[in-house]
Amino acid sequence: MSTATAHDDHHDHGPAKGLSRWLFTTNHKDIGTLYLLFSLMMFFIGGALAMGIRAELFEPGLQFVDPMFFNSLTTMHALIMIFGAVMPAFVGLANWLIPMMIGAPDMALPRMNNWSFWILPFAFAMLISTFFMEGGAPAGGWTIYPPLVLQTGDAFPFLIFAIHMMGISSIMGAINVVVTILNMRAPGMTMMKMPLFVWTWLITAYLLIAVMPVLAGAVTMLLTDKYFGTSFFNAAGGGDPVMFQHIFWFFGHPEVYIMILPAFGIVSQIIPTFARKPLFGYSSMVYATASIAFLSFIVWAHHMFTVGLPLTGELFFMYATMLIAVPTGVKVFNWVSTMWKGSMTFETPMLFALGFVVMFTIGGFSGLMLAITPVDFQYHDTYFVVAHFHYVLVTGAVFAIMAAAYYWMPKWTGNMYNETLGKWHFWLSTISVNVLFFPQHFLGLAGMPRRIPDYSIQFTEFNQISSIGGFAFGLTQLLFAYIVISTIRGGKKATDQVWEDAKGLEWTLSSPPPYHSFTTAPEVK
Amino acid sequence: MYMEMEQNQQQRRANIRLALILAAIAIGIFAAFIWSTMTGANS
Repeated sequence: MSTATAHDDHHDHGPAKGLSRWLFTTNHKDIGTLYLLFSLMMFFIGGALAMGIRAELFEPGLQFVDPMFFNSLTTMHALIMIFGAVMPAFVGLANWLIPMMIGAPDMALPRMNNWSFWILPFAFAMLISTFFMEGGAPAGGWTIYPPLVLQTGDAFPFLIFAIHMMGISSIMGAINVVVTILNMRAPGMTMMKMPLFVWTWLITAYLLIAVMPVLAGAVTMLLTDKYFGTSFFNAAGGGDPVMFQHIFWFFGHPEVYIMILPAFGIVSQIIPTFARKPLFGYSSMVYATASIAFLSFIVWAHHMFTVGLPLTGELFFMYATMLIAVPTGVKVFNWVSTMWKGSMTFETPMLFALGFVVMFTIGGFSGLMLAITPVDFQYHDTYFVVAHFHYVLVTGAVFAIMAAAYYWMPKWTGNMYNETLGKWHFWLSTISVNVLFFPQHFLGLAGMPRRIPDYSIQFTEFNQISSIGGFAFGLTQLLFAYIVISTIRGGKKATDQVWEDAKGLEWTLSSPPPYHSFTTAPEVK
Repeated sequence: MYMEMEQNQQQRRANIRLALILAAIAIGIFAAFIWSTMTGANS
């Protein structure tokens, strides 16, 4: 599709030296690197909290932490993983890849790009500092439902301000992505020639712009309810606590797709390369992504089936939720069809992409079960839900991020990663993550509630299996950190093409690419 | 700027215009949700 790689070295000044390079950089690759490293750090902090949760749940009774702190662990684990690990990882990938994929020299708004990133460390320093405050860290769950969340101690305003900062960072990042894609494409790069990763990010960015302000509105109203005497969600003052749940999930469900659509894009880039066939049904993939994004706005109340919705509402949200299976099924069908009769090889990125397709689909099916209203009455707030969303977000989003890291790391660093270690990382992760999360389906079906530090003894065995899987999965990720660090430091030199059948403008650049990607716009045929 | 790619004036203006439109949409949604919740609670 692409040809030209002409670079005007005159403009390629290279990076500044030392700390100022990272503090003041407006370069999309530097900022992408910052996002990815920040995300990795948050992944380990959030993971450490998860280890605390699994250690406490290894046996019934209270072992290591008091119940209040346990609730803080679950709340902070979720907030850190969602807003600190998964979302910044995708924004980091967008920063690195979108300009290179569309033939642009950089992001459209480079200084705002710097701001978008540097807000995040302050937001998370503030959020994590709440562990040391009077009353402890937030413990009301990441869904911050009132009136429970209003009992948070000194941490409350810090929580709200941290969420505001994350939201502002996300909106600025999303605006940058939209403007870059719409205004900075190389000549000939029409919308329907854009790589799927770019398409999925364009749609994700629109979702972010539409729903992050809704979360901002909801948490602002919480803040005024607590400190300024308003009664938005206070029944005694004429407000409605269930209204918060509607507003939160109007944000929260599209948020799920914000964390999975870029993963769809990544997998759609990787599978054709290692199947050595063009992606099956490119345009249907684009339309399916747009359909999923649209549907994500009309299914929010499936998180609230047990609050007492009118029957008509429950039916509407049940059927609307089931509809999502159609475009998602189109995607899975297209990935499988791309592989059909392909000359497949199984390098680490492909293994993670295949792991994604299989295990994300398991998460999709359990989601379909949860969509059935009368069934949800049984499953709601049980470990079945925990198992479901971890299949979607860990074996889904996180596996796709791993796949992306292995796929593009040779391009970014100029060095090949160690393939043997990569495969070890994949297999250990895949086995341990299933040992970790699959038994949680059974726990949920048997009625074990989520967000509890203690449980009845009949749940012991499955919890122990789950905890062993959790510790193994956590330890395995140290191997990933080692692979990343050793690849950055050296290794076998990568070619410019890196993968035999890789297609797209980014592979026409050198490995590692020049500081400014395309100073002369490439021609796209 | 030593680290920043130069954009031509026309491109720059187009980028900023689109960014402002998107920011206005975001702020509008924020305000609309607070306003609609406020009126809903009082009715």
